[in-house]
Amino acid sequence: MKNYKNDGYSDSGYLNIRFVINCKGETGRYVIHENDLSLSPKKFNPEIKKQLFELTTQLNKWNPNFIRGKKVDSYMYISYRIENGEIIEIIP
Amino acid sequence: MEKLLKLFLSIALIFLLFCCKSKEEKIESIMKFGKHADYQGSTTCMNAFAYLVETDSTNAEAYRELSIPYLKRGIPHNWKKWIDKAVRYDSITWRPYRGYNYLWFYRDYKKAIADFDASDTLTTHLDYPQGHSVDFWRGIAYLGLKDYENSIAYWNKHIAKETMDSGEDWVELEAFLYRGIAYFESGNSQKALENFDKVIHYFKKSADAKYYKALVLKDIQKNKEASQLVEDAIVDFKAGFYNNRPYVETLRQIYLEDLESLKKSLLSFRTK
Repeated sequence: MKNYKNDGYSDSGYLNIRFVINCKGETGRYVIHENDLSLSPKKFNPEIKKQLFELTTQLNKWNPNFIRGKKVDSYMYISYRIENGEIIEIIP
Repeated sequence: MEKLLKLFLSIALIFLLFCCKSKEEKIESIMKFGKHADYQGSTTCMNAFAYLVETDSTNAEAYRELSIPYLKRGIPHNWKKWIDKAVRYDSITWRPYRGYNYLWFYRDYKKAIADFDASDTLTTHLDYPQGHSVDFWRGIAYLGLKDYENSIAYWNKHIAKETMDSGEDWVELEAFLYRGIAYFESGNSQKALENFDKVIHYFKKSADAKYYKALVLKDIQKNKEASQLVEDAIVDFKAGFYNNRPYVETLRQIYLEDLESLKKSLLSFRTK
């Protein structure tokens, strides 16, 4: 969160980034969902989107999911709750 | 092999649709199939619930089933589309449940409280979505808003009811922990200590209660006692005894880094 800079943004909503963590712990196949605080689709300021995408894709210490004795590919998501350009919560 | 299994499940679903006698029997069979055929959110299960709402367009439980995979996979607008339909057709069951979803998966405390409050008038009894009363959940939601007065009021109400119904030793430890945190954050050290001690009294291994008690003791310059508590908290934490919940981070969740950081600050304080 400390690496994020609110450059005078006024956006509010949830910016969700979904991605695959494969059985080797590598990430990819990123998808972004943008919603307002009432959860309706919206478009965020591209600069916020770019910053949060870059910060999220820099995270690289992921443990692969382990099911029935085997490492498997799985989906993960990070949701940023943003109010007036500030990150209020990082979910889940 | 996986394709064959999907084909088999699809054929089983089609068979279910045409083999039952009455509409009610058909609905029951599809619901059962959707809940047990495969993992939640799989194509087979989602198709089953989609068939179900085609068969019975006011089936609130089916809409709820359709919503949850989107909730857990971080696709908010699709969760909302389906859960709102579940609430529309059975608000008594699903409105307090939606509040629970808003609380944990969206950290939208105000919307969560609105749904919990609505349950007060929808039914004459106290509702327990996902295993806890709406008073318990409101205690957490108001703490999330840093509205300590309301948070403490709901914890008091919840703890009084549980104590009267079953005895104080049956009250969930989180209730004392969160009431203690609400007192701590609002500056009432004495009341905070009473609640953290209550947790430790009923369960000796709580990293959270010991961590927060150590913070209070640090505030009142009892650093030696605080240091010992942090050491104990680290042992408890490493043994897995800390407050957490599935799917999401819990409110005020502590991490080993928090404990190590407090330990370090107490050490530097004592060596000054």
